[in-house]
Amino acid sequence: MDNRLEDLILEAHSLPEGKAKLLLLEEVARMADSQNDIETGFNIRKEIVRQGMFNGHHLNAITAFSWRLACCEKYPQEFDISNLLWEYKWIVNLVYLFPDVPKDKIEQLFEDMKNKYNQEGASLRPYYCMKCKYLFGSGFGEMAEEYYSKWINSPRDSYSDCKACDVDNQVYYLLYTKNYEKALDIVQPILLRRLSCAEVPHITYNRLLLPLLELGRLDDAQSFHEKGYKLIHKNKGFLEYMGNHLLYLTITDVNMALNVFEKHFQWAFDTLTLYYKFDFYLASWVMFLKLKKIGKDDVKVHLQKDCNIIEKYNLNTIEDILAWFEKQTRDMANKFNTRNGNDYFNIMIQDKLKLVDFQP
Amino acid sequence: MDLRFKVNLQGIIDLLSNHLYSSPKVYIRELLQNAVDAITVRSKADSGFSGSVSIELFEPSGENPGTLIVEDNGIGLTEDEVHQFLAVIGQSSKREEFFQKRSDFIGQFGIGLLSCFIVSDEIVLITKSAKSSYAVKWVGKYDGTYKVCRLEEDVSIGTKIFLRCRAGSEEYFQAQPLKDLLVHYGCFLPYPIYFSTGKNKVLINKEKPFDFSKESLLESDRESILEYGRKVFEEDFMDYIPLFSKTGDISGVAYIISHKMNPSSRRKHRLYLKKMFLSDSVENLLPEWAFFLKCIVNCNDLQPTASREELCDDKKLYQVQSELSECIRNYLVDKARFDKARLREIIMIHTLSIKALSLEFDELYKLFIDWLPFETSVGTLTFKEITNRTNVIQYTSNIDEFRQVQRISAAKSICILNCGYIYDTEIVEKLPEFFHNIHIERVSPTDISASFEELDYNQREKAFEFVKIAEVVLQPFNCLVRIKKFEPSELPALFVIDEEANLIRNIENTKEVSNSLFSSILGQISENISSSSKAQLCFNYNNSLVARLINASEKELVCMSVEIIYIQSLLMGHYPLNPKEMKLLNSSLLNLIDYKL
Repeated sequence: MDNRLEDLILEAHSLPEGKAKLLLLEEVARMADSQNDIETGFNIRKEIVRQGMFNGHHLNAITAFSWRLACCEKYPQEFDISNLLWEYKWIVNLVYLFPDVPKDKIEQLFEDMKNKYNQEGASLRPYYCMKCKYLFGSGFGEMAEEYYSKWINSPRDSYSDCKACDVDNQVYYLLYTKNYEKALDIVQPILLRRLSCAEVPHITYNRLLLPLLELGRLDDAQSFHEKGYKLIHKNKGFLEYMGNHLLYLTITDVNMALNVFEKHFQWAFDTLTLYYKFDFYLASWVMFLKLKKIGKDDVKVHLQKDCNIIEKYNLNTIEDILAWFEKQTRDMANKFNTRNGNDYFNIMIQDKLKLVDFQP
Repeated sequence: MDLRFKVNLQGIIDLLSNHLYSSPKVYIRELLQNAVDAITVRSKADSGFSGSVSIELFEPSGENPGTLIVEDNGIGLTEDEVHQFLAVIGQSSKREEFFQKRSDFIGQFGIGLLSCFIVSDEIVLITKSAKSSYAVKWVGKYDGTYKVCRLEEDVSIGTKIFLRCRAGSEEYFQAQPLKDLLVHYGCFLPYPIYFSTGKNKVLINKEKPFDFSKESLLESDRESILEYGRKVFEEDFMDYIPLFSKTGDISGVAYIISHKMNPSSRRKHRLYLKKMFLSDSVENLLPEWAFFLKCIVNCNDLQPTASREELCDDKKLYQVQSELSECIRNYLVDKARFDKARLREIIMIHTLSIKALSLEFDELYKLFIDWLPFETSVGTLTFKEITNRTNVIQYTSNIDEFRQVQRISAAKSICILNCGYIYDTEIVEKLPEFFHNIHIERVSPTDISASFEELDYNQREKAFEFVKIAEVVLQPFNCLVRIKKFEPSELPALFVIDEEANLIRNIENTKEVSNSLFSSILGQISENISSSSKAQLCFNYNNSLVARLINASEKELVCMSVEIIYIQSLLMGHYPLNPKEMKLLNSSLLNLIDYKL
């Protein structure tokens, strides 16, 4: 390995998590490739997958992963596929967030993941869990149920998610099926902080916000909103969860919601991960509807320069803004619906639009 | 009839030692805690009383297993209390109710004593309560059985605990490590703690430069407080900040680390709870930006988690964080006024922390901004030095773009900021809020190449054929062609690519090597990313080679040259060649040789 490459790796490691680090890692990978240094390329891409996964650069993660996978398939002696099992579950969880990937490819991907897990003698628990998440996240509720049961009845092993994430995922599914009682029961160890990790309870608080409002437990909801927002507001990797905070605030304190929107719109505007963009745009649309409903027609929206849609698209009135968000959201929904062959994204839109009139 | 479960004590202890506690050594902490709690209760009732704890060790030798004796002259336990505390384990509801009432206690007697079974098969406890006329002896065994009896002989008020070393636990019954452990846990305890091994008796909690009282923290000699920090953490510190928070009744010292810290490194603060050592890896005591500090802090009123090695993350903790951050801010503001040299030193070493802080508090932003260093195309400059040169701040928002821009701007000696690092973009984008005369401008490599001098009509006409050929040659590589005039003139062409185009290039390259499934997935995704942004190759009209190519009449030669210039500019920018480009390189080199021959 030449000195420049080594220096660059050191520099990348010294940087805090985030885009700067990711770009340096990418540079290391490029340089390693141009020197035909496969081992460095393989190792550095592991970090790219991780960085991309947790800091919101999902395409970089998928790309780096497929390079690693190809490497293992091409040189099975040097690069053991067991290295990739852990990452594979992240990847299957990312690919369907892009509506351009056809359904049969997603299915093939899950099949491939399953085969790889079987080949290594690993428990299929992560496979069932991820597939369940994909299914209910794309509106295939009935099939998801089957996978849920397989998931929680499979043994845990070293490729399984940590206990905290596992419980969090279960809570996520139970809330989706409106099984609030059971969800609030099994979530206890997380709320008591007996289980925690780098993402839990951050994202767990978030999942509970709207159900708690629905149940009338306003104090809990407020406290979870505060704690949860504080934990996630600095990392773009949590964009997925920002929409829920926005919706929560739209219901409880719409002025505050506008603040949060202004702060995080850039994340959603920049992201190429359409599922998350859809989520945030839909929440934003609901928020502007609420603002209009309470008569704030002349609301001033302050956005950073490169995501300033108000200037870029001449959105001079609240009607303009609403129309823009509606179009963007519906366009994305159509893409997903076409891919999935159902109208689940329309149902999501209808559900969330009802929140405009929701009184806790 | 309802039957009761039997709980296997060994199993429970195994669970405790392997999961709840971070190390078996915590049994010393639990023993000290029980002793201190007992003394605290007794001194409340009797103000003239002076409590102390003695620990005596008989090291294991030959046939003799070692024995550890811990004695305090605290309140003691009555026979009833012995039954109540030492026989019922983990009866949660009652326990919580009971211990909430006694929040002046550090520990929870029965649970604490249980941890002794980690190193001992048998615990003997002799105790006489101040409220009782006779002493009680309790013998507990690892198998879960225990005996209680009254003692005939008279003993003084207090509690004495005997631990017999379990075979295999000898390492915990050695004098020096045990003494170190006692110092570790008990060096700040408010009552004298003595340790002896039969021969000599030493005081464990000797005097410290501070005892967490406000006076001692503010008035003690600066050097001796720094020296203490050096001893504890085994590193030098630049300075320290006294910390106080009303919430949680907290006081202590935050030492300023004298070398650069990685913000993602784990912060490890040393925390005492009512002066008993709790943990040396508390992470959540200070706000996130305070990663340049290492603290020694005592709190009297905060809730530790079940393992007692972290703090509960609740509203109260946020309040504590904000009060402590106020102390740190005051310190920095004070330095800005009266000790600029020290502040400059802190900023140079802990730039990231200070940048994070400036974003958090406007007041500090204004105070620090002049001193904050930025990487620029002409070297690292402070903001002050930058504004001395220009009041139009040009910056790139990612490192990749900066490196491309740097190559061009260095020749023109324009100062462009690299804001790809964490916080920098946010700091620069905040500038106009505070300084009305400063303008900021985000630049990308394509902006820079767009700012190169255009050709005039005649020159364009001359270059027309050449550009057309180049476009055709580079079209399969998704690369646009431009021709401009720029410095340095030795450079025939410049390859520029913005972030999105770079990502697409990366995806395309990976697609080539991936398996068929991933290759088609990547293909589908990249196809639909807005293709508006493309890489471009900008030829330099000022370059003599380019000038000759423009005039060259042989089309074949021009094609080959464009191919090679394209490849060469990729390599100069450290862009790895994809298989297509590799093939191009080989064929055009060979063709060129062939042509020349």
